[in-house]
Amino acid sequence: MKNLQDYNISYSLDENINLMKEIFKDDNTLKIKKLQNQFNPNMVCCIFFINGMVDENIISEYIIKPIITNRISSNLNQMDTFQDQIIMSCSSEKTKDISKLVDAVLMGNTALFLECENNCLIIKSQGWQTRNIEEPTVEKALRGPREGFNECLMVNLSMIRRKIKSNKLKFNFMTIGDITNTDICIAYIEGLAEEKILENLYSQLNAIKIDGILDVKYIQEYIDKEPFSIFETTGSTEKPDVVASKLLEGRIAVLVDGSPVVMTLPYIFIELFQSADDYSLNYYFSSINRILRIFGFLSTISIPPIYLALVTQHQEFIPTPLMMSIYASRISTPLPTILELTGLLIVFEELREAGARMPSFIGQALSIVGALVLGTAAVDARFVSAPIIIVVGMSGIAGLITPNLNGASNVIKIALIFLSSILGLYGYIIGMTFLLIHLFKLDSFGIPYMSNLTTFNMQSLKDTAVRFPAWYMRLRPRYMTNNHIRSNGGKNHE
Amino acid sequence: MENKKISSSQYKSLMVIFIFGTSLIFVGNIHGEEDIWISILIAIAMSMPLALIYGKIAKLFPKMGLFDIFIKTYGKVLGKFFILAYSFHFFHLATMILRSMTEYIQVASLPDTSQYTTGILIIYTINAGLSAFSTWAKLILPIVILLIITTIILGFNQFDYSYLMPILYNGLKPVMVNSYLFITFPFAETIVFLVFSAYADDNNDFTKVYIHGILIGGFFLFINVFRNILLLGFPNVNNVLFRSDFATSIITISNFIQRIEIIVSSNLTLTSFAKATTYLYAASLGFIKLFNIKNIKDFSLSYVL
Repeated sequence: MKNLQDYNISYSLDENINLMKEIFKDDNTLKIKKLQNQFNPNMVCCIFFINGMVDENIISEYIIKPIITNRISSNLNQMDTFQDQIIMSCSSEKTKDISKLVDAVLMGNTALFLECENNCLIIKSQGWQTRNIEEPTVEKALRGPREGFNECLMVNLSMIRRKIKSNKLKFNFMTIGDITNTDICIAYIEGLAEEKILENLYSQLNAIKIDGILDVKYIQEYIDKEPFSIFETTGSTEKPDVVASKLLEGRIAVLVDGSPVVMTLPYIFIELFQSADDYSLNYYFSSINRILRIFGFLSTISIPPIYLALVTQHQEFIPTPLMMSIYASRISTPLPTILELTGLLIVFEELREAGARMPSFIGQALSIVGALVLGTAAVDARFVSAPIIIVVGMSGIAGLITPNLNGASNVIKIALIFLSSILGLYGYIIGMTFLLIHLFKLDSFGIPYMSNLTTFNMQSLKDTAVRFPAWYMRLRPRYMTNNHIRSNGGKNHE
Repeated sequence: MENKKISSSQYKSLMVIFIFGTSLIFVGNIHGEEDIWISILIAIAMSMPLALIYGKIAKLFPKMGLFDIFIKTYGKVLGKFFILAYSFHFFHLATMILRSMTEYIQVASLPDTSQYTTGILIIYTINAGLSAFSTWAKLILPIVILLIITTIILGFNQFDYSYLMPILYNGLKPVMVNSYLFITFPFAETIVFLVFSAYADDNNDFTKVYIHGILIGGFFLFINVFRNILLLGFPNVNNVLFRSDFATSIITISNFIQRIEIIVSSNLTLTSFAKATTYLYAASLGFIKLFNIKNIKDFSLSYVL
C-alpha cells in the first residue's frame, strides 16, 4: 500500500478521480459526483464526500446548486473564484496536501476538484445523527439543570459555552489516536486554571501513543499518576453544569469526541461525595446529604469487617443479650462467618450487577426476588444466619449512596474483611490506617488528594463535608488557583 | 516526596501522637506509687528547657536535618559516627515499640498475632513519604484524643478519689526520680523530630512546635495516668502490666457498655504505629546519609525486615 505522502494532485480531473478511487479502494461509502455548469459545458468539476457523514441538504443546496446554475466563465485562478464567489459555505479551505484532504473527507467534509487545477477545495458539510440531549442516567439531579452531554464534541462544547459566556473560556483542540484520529478538547478558564497543571497536562497528553481513543477513560488511565491505585485521580461527569462549576473553580476539563463523559482535573477525594444538586438545594439539606454520603462510604466498608471481628474474635464487646441472639441464629448454619459474609457479599454484588444490566422493568422484579425471596428463604432454610443478611444489606445499601466509589469500596471491604478475620479489630485498624496513608499519599496533578480535609479553616472547609451557602464561599479553593476572590462575600447579607 | 513541605500544625499533631506512643499503655512501668501523676507534671515542666534547646537548634540550622547538623558541626568522621549511633538508637527503639505493641496485642487479646502486618504497613508508610504520614497524624489526632476523653467520661462515676490520698506519702525523692524517667521517655525522645526539620515549610517555629507538642501530649498523658490511678488504686496499679487496658476494662455502664478496653487498644495500635514509623523513618534517613543512598524507597524495605 502506498503512503498518502506519495500521492500528488494532478491537473487532470480524471486522474484526480482515479487517485481518490485508489485511496478509498473497497470503501463504498465514498460518493463521487461529476458536475457541469449549465451555461458553460467546459466547466467541469467533481465533488467527493462520504455518505452518511454529510448533510446532503447542504451539498445539494449550497454546493451543487450554485455550481450548476451560476454563470461561470472559465478563467485562471478558478479555484479562488469558486471559493469566494460560488460556494455558499461558511468554511472552505484550499489545499494541496493529500493527507489533509483525506482527513477532511473522512470527517464529513466535501472535497471539490476542478479541471486544470492541481489543488482542491475542502468545504464544510458535516452532518450526522447524534443522540438528543438527555438527562444522564447515572447522575440524576432532583433539582437544577437536567441536561447531559452527548457523544458529539461540538454539541458538548456549546453546552459549556452557553453556561460560561466569556472570552476567557478557552477551548484547545488536539488529536490523539493513530487510527481513530479522535478530536479531544481541553477546556479551561484563562487566569483561573493553574499554568503548571496545564503544562503538565499538555505534556502528558502529547506523550500518549495509542491507536485509538474511544472513551475518555483511555486518557484517564494514561495520565493517572498512580495507575495501580483503586482511587481515580481524575474526575468524570456527564453534566455540563458540573463541568462549568469545576471550570470556575480553576479546574481543567478534557472532552473527547464520541464520549458523553468529561474528565475534570485536578480531582480530590471529597469530590466523590459531591453531587450536582447539592448546589440547587437548601444548604442545610445538602450538607446533611453530603455527611450521609461520607457516613455511607464509611459504613459500607466498615460494617462487615467490624461485625466479623466482633463475632469471631471479640465476643466480649457485644452486650450479652445481643450476643445470645446472634449466636442463637448462628447455631445451625453450616459455614463459618467469614465464608457466610463473603458469600453473601458476592451474591449482593451479583444482584446489583444484574440489576444494572437488565432492562429496568425486569430489574425491579429481580431485586424483589433476590432481596426478599432469596434472603428469607436462605435464613429459613438455615443456610445463613439472619444477622449476616442485615449486615450485608446495610453495607450494600450504604454503598449505593456513593455510586462513584462503588468499585473502590468493594475492594476495600473485601480487604478489610480479610484483615479483620485474621487480626480482629486490630486488623481493621491496620487496614484503615493503610487506606488513610494511601489516600494521603495520592495526589492529582500536584494537588494532594485529601486537600481540605485536615484543616479547621472555615473558608477551606466550606465545600467539603458540609456545603456552606453560596454567598459564604467567598474564595475559590486555595490549592486550586491563585486567583482566589470569587464573590463579594455577600456584603448585602450582613 | 522530598519536596513536599510540612506545616507546623502537622508537626505538632505528629509530635503529640508520638508522645502518646506506647506510653499511653506502658506509662509508669516505673514503680510509681500513687504520686506518679505529680511526676508527670514535673516532667512536663522540666522538659520545657529541652524543648527550647531543640527549638533553638532547629532555628540555628534552618533547612537542615539533625544528621546534616552533625556533619556540619562535628566534621565528616565524627559526624558520621554520631549519625550511626543515633540511627541505631532509633532503630532499636522502633523495634522495641513494635515488639511491645505486638506483645500487648498477644497478651491482652489475640494470642496468635503476627508481627509482620504492622511491619508491612510501616514500609508502605515510609515509602508514602513524610508528608502523607504527618497529614494522616493530623487527621487521626482528634480521634485519638476523643477516644481518651470518652474513656474518662464513661469512667467518671467509678472514680475513687480516695486513691489519691495520701499525697507525697513516700517523700519527694521517688517522685523526682520518676519524673526524670518521664523526661527521658517520652519527652526527650522528641529529638527525633529534629531529623525531619529539613522538610519544614518556611513559617515553621520549632520552639513553638516543641512546646505545644509536649504540652498537649503531656496533658493527655497526665489525664490518662490520673484516670488509671483513680480507677485502679495504688497497689493494683503496680500489679497490672497493661494499666490503661485493665483500668478501662473495669468501666461498665448499666451492664450494656462494658469491656471498652478495645478503645485503648485501638489508640495504642494507632499511636505506637505512628511512633515506630517515626523512628524507622528517622533511622532510614540516617542510614541513607551514612551510605549515600539516593532513594529511601530502595532502602526501607530491607531495613524494616
